[in-house]
Amino acid sequence: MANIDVEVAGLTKRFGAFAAVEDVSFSIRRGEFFSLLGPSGCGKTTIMRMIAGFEQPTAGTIRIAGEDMAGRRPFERPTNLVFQHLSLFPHMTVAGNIAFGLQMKKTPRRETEKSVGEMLDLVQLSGFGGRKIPHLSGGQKQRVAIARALINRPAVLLLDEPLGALDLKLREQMQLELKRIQREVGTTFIYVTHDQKEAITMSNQIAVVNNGRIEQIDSAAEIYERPQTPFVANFIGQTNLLKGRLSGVGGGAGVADCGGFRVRVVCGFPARAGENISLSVRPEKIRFAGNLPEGANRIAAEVDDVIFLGSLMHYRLALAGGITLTAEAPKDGSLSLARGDKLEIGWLPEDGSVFADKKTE
Amino acid sequence: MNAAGAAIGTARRERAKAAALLLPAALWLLVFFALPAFVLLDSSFDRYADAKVSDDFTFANYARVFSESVYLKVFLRSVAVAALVTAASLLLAYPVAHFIARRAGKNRDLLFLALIVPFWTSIVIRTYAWKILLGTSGAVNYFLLQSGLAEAPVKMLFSPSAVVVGLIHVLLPFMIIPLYASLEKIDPGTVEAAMDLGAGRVQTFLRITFPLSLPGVGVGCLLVFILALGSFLTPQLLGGPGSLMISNVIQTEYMETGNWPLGGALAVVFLAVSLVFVAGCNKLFKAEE
Repeated sequence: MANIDVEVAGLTKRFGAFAAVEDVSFSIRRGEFFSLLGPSGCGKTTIMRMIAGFEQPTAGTIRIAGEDMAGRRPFERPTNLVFQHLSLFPHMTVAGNIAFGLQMKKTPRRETEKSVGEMLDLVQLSGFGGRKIPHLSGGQKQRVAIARALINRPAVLLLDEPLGALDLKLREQMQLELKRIQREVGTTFIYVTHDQKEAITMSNQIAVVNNGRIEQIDSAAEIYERPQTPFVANFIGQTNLLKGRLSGVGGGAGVADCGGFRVRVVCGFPARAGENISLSVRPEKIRFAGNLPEGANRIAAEVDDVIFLGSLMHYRLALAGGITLTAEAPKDGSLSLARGDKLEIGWLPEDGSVFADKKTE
Repeated sequence: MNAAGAAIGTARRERAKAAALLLPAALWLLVFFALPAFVLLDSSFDRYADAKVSDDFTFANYARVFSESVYLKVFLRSVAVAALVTAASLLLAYPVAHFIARRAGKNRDLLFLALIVPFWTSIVIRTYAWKILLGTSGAVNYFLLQSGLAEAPVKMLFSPSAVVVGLIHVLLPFMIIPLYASLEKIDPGTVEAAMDLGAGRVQTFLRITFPLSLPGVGVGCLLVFILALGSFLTPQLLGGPGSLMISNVIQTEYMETGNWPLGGALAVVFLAVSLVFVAGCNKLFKAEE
């Protein structure tokens, strides 16, 4: 495919016996906002540093715009990096920071000044060129770091959790800002984050990374609605994970015995009776008596706790067999439950995600 | 009492507390620095005639300091030696400080200890060691003669170069430590960022690392220059009559000639030169920020 910008195949990085990154492969289309999402220490930053050229892979290839990056040093690659701690040059002005990349390329002064002006406009810092770095706010520093990395017109911009240090309000504002900048310049963005909300808000594609491996690559909606592993189900959004044993399998569906109760499930894999499975049910998929659709699983429950979350309510539900579930409902007055209430709850079989448990050998 | 009055009261109490904390140090400075300095200044205006000091007020000592070329020569030599020692120390110390700050990893503490260990030995003993190394029958000459690099022993001791070598050895840690402190504070990300943006090693050093280490360079140079300028022991032991420095001349006036007023005048001029240098350095590095 012609419009593939980044192609990573079989990428592996070992530090001694420890594999930080193990057989990672993905491809990113030009102009895409691609996120590497995972908990800290999962290897996502190492993947990004290998793309930038700061770490050498133990095995595997990285191709950018069709060219193999093996042996190329950071400044010989069509990539630029926005660092986790921004790492602006504190002894230079805003304009000095942004101009650095062009000065290193020996760009004529007038051309550099023009580009710096354009970059300041792009990140909405016009008129700040003469400011010193220590005099900027967190959000402004962020913008300078992005402008500094974009001025060399990289094919790929790598961002290493750049919003981590900002407070929530500013972070949400910068997320939208980053999206806008990316639309305007059309550069491929690879964004490293441990914040699933951030990844879902911004990305076209998300690769969920765990223990150095990719668990799933999909659009945000697919990852949320159809997680392929229990880790993904648990890491993206909130979920209830139930353990069960399959019986009565047939036609991609079956019945799972969860201990205190049985539920009907839909399996996306060739399942066998007697197999152990994990079942993920999102809190918002759980319905309450009076609102249970045709064909839903029905289970007796007791309300254990009621948690007020503003526009939403969370209910902790105690089920037979000592199992508890969290259910979510809008706070619209249609449902008023109190601790100790007994009622029937349930969910549609297709609203649950079933994973075959890995065999323990 | 209203709020403003209470605030003034609190501020007053805070000031009294600060003054109480500063008092011991201030007293110490007064008794052991300000008073002797005043006595020195006062005596520098006394008259010295026929090996006797009299209390007449005179500028004669200062006139001698500025008119006799021997004193100007000693001053110039001292400044030259101090400048040379400072420059050489900076060049030698920078790679060491950079290594300890950036590359040493787990060995950092050990290397730092190695830097401090020489201070456990008296400077006199360390300077005598150079006598053994540099003497006509010393280790360096032995090596030169044995390897055939020299026909006859090279005279190294009792020369300005011996003083410079000895001072560099003694003063190097005073350069390394401030350099280390400011190199260690530099975010390693800035170096990676520069390389990511297309700067090679030399460019990264010139544009990023060195400018960011300037505070350490300033403090280190100031310390080494002032200590070298005022050095007494090293020129006394390693220098010949042609490599005496200000402190040696002042000591001679006080202890041997007995001309305290002249020694006082020399000391006052020396102090003024040092202060001008410190003020100049301060201004330079204030402007840098």
